[in-house]
Amino acid sequence: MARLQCPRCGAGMNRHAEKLVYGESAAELVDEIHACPRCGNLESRRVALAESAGPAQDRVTPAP
Amino acid sequence: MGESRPLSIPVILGTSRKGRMSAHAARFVCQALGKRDGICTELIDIADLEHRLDDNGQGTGDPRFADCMARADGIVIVAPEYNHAMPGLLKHVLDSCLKEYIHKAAGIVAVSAGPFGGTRVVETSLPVLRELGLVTIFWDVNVGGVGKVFDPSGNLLDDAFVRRTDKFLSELVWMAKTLRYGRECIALN
Repeated sequence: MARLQCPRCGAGMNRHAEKLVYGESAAELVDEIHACPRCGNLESRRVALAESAGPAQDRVTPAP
Repeated sequence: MGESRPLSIPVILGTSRKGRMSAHAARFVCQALGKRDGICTELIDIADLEHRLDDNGQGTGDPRFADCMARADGIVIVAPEYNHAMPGLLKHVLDSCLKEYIHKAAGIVAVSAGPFGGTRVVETSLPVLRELGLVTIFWDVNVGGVGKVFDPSGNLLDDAFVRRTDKFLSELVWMAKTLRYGRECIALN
């Protein structure tokens, strides 16, 4: 799934967490949590569990 | 990574009870945080928030609180011990957010009138904070016999709390920095 773009500053956001969503649908859903490395903005999106388990993203920046 | 952005670490005063001595502890910790370079903080008094009694859960709380939690890199929860647990209103407020907390640092300042320093509110709060996605640190500030630690005007009477609070905040800031790096730069595999 495509990387989220920060709606505040336009930078590519980092998907750092998922939270299982219970009870809203027969399908298994997760809330993906994304953080912006430039401005710190927080966004989330709800996706099917199967879709969220995509290939790993690369690191956005190297470790200090 | 936004290394130049200051860390945001608000302090939550977790009780609305009349005559609350926890307010003195919250102001003391907030002032100590504010003296540190690269930190911005504010005191959030849950008595000042708007609370819905006909609903609860994610997205139902005061939007000012949710905005503050979204901006935060860590939080200090100042919690008195009421019947071995956090005040019900504090739990109500904390339950109004979820995604805003995930992978952020949390430290507890526990306050009690008795001799045990709020150790039981710490123990009963840990599973709650974990389920909210917060990452708790292993330093606490335990304010036992709070009536002897602060005078009625809020002046600190026991200097040992200066040193203990400094250690607590150092651990919290380290965890907040580390988790900010993780949130913003390390992708979930």
